[in-house]
Amino acid sequence: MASVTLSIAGLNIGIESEDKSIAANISKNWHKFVVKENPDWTFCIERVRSLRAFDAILCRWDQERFQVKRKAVWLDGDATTQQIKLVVSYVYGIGDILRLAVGILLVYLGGFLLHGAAILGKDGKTGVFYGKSGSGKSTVSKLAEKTGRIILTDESIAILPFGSSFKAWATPFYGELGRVSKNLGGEIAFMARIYHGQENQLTPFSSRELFLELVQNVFFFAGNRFAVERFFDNVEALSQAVNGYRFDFLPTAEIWNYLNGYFEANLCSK
Amino acid sequence: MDILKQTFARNEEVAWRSVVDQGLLVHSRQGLVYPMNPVGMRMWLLLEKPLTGEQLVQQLYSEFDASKEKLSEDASLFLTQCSKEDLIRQEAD
Repeated sequence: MASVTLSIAGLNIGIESEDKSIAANISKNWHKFVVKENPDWTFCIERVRSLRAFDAILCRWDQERFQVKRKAVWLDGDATTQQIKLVVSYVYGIGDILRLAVGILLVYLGGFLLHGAAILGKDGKTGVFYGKSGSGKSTVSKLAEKTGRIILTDESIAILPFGSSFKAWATPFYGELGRVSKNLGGEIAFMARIYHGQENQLTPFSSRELFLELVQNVFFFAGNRFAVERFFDNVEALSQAVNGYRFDFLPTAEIWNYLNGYFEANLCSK
Repeated sequence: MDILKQTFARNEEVAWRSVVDQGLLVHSRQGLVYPMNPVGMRMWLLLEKPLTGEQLVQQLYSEFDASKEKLSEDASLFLTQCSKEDLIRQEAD
């Protein structure tokens, strides 16, 4: 049995498997996230040729147990032992397995995994920029990188409750930039649905609009109706707690001045 | 066969949420999101118990300010597309 521990969204996640290449790959590729601490949660990964044996199982989703069944993955989370058993077929890569498992764990813990970029300011607050492929997440991240800002992620944001608000965290599930600045998280200052525009323009969303926009930009790891309903609850809670905007932007570094001027704050500051 | 004469019910694997008068359906196996307009969401809510397309139209007619022809058209389209996406299932008569 080989194991490695990752710190994702403030959670220490131990990864254990008989397949030693898994821990070796993780240590090599995601070294910024590897920690030498005791895990809060443990993922036990088992590779199988076929998942047919799990076909008849009905998934649970309650206080003690959360289970999700997909074509190539069986996920069985036990909240009492904080262990998640992952039975996966050989066709599934380790990156995809972990993204799915982390996504489900976040939903269980009141959050979710969002398709977006997150930029951390000196004030510890995070600007979240989300949208579909081609909407400009990588452009915003590159502009942040050029001006020395801290990019938490340019692809997959881990979101978890933080007091009466929410925090956005870096994840090892990179996008075009292929890296993150630091493995950190910050309280969400705003959520901006980005569009390429003719000028920089923020337009506030109602919480209903924010909910509808967010739901259509998440990584859905369904496989259990109750998991999706829990996910809806989490997005609804965030939509009530955080300000959301439509952000039409011009791809220049001027966006940071515009955002700071709009919010009369030092958001996304260097 | 006229789709409005057939009986339909929701697929239990579909998660949904209504947001004011709109809504979202998510097929939990496929992970696809289906946004619903107010009439579509109302039809989804009415299908809590199995109904024929004609019963659906009758109920919509009592609630929406639209002609029966228009509502029949909307219901046929809704039932056809939702069946195709496995969001609803045809019930035996």
